Amino acid sequence: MNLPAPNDPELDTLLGAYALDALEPGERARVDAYLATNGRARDEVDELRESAASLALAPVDDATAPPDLWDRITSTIDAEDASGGTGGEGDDELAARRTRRGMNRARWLSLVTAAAAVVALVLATQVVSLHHRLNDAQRTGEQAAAGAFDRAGHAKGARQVAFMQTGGAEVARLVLLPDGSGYLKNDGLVPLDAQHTYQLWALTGTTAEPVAISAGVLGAHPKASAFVTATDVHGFAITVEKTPGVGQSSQIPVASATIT
Amino acid sequence: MSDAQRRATADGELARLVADGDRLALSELYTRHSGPCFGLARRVLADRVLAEEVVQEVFLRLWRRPERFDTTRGSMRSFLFAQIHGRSVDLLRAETARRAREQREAFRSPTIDVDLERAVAELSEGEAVRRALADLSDGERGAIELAYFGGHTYREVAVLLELPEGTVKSRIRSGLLRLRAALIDAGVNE
Repeated sequence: MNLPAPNDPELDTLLGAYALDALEPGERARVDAYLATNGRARDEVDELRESAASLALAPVDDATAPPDLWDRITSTIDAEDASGGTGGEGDDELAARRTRRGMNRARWLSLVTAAAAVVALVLATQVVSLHHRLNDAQRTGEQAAAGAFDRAGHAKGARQVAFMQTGGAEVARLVLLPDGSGYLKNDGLVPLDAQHTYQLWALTGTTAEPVAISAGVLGAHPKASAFVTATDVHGFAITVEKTPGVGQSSQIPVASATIT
Repeated sequence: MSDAQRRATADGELARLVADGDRLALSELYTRHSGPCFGLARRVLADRVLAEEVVQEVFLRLWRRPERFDTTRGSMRSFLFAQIHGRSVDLLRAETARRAREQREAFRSPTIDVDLERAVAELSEGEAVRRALADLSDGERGAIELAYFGGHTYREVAVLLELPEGTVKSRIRSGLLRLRAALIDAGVNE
């Protein structure tokens, strides 16, 4: 039985650089050996790696994988399945496990398709309903909406949030009342051309796994808008769309707001 | 399992389904994490083609060896990012790749397809990371960014910053620990 290695202050100082892949090969091998027998150091590296992983979430200009990359991955998997695996260690065990499971797969795949259709129908109905209610509200006009925005800010239970662009600038404000009605006031969303429009999205679900429901079309040059949405939202997002009132968006939000 | 159920399934359970040969589970993990993975690889390598190769390799490795992800040692995201970063740095440290990087300009490409909910979550987390990074000392932040995004060893960072190696080691470690605490406070990390 191997005894746990005692703490080594010199190697401990290397753990941060180890988590960033910033050691040279010889030092890395020493730390690997240290981690194999020192649980405390291993736990610290796990923590440091979580920090390192967070760095990858810092905003970048383009973090979208090319659309054909997934096709290339599945093509490779298909080719490996056809040839009986990669020939690597553990292939047989993994293949056997997957074969056992595959016997049950065909039946539930058809259920997945049916369930997806139902979900799509429900979401579409929600979107249409919200749009009808929004259209009613929009008829009150932007001036009325701007006045309502100011009054709503003083209402009991009103929650006020600011829309921030990725770079941190505040571009719009929103007041949400407990009954789900809300008002948005534009402070810095730039006017769009006639072929584009802003669209507002309410975020439900969890913060980590939000579900976006359209809360209405804001127009190309919004000043103030009224809308009605669900009461359990935890945030909002604004996108720029070519087609007004899309049920799902494929655009990166130009601004987002979190209700705290 | 419906699409909606799969979208609500935790990464750890999806990893177990991948081990069972469930490609839809792999597809869901790809949907969740491929964007930041690609962004990280592209930022380190400054090369779109190499970044695509790294992302492809890492997700294929997850399909072929799902047991290497251990839920007790961290999140799927940190596991994938560690794989992406390690492979990217390996490529970068090959002399030819480093030379090529020095000759390339920053890469830009049009946005093609984005999951809105995912994009919102990433924007929110990204802003939290940006704020947490801004709260580090200049010395900590500079050393971490050069090592992580520049692909430099800490010895190279020490030369670049004209600092003792011990100082750089300490700053990297203390900076990462402070970053971790700040992100836990912000609800980004558990």
